[in-house]
Amino acid sequence: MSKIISVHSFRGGTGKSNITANLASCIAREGNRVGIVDTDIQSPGIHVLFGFNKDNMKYSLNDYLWDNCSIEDAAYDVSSILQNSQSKGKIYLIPSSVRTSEITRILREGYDVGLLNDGFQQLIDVLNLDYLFIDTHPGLNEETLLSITISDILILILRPDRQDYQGTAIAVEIARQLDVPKMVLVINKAIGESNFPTLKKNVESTFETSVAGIFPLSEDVASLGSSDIFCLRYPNHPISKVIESVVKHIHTP
Amino acid sequence: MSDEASKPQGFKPSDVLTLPKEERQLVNWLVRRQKASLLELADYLKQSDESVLSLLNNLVEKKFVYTKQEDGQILYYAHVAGKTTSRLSNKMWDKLNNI
Repeated sequence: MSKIISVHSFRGGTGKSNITANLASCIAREGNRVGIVDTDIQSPGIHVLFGFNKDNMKYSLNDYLWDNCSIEDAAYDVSSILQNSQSKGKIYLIPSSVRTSEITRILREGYDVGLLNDGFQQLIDVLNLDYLFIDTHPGLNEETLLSITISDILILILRPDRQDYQGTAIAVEIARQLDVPKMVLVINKAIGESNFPTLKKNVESTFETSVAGIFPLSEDVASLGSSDIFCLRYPNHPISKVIESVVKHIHTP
Repeated sequence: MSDEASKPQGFKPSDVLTLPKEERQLVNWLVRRQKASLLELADYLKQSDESVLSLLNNLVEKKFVYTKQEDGQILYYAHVAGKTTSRLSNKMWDKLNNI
């Protein structure tokens, strides 16, 4: 039975796409077939982590939503990034368009949100996926609400910041109204590692939701500058170990 | 009760948040499952067939749910189909299109 995992944050700049790419890669490295859909149509970005740009995107999610192609036509096999791990896993990326005219067109004309739901199911069936990750747009909009509704697991990313706390409270409340079967929080860009146990305890008690991992604010991650998947390049780094601990939460029923 | 011929135009995901709790739970589950029979829905909600049928009839009327006959039984579908819309004026879009 395949699992749909939405990765969301109420505010931008939380490292959502980076964490999504790392979680998906870590799970694919275990030998799973994984898909990643970039539903952040307004501000796409996850493709960069997989070395993608507009020149090697014949079709994108936008084309599927405009009925120019099937959703699997917009799925790119990016499993070559796993080459050093000798894994038999697969990763397929469904990017959103990075062409200015196509971003503005979809914002202007809109699209049928129901097509997204059909497309997700189609991807799972045609690509025989074990996991489908949905990288959402920050905040709340129709595609994000749909992604949350159909998810088996919702991962909410937040920074230890008052604005993030307030936004996360809204997202948690909405997710509860949408009956998401499982929800976990991931804290990113935290400082003062010795205080992480207290931070975890406080956040869990405030939101009544488990914290699956805390990532420290990291110069090593910043230095990579989204040019690669961190956990694949540095599998023994402490940050990669946090990724693995979040993956364990995903596997736990 | 509707059939495929009178399939509704659908609803936006945000519309679900306006529903009463039981109807919302039912629609959320249908969106996740794609389709379900009355028995499956009654089992999920742990309610009698009659009460779930009443909820379903309300939801059909509100155009959140439609039905299809498949293999001799009625199946219920949540029809997510709302179109996203722009909040910007045409003038502003015309400027953006010239970038």
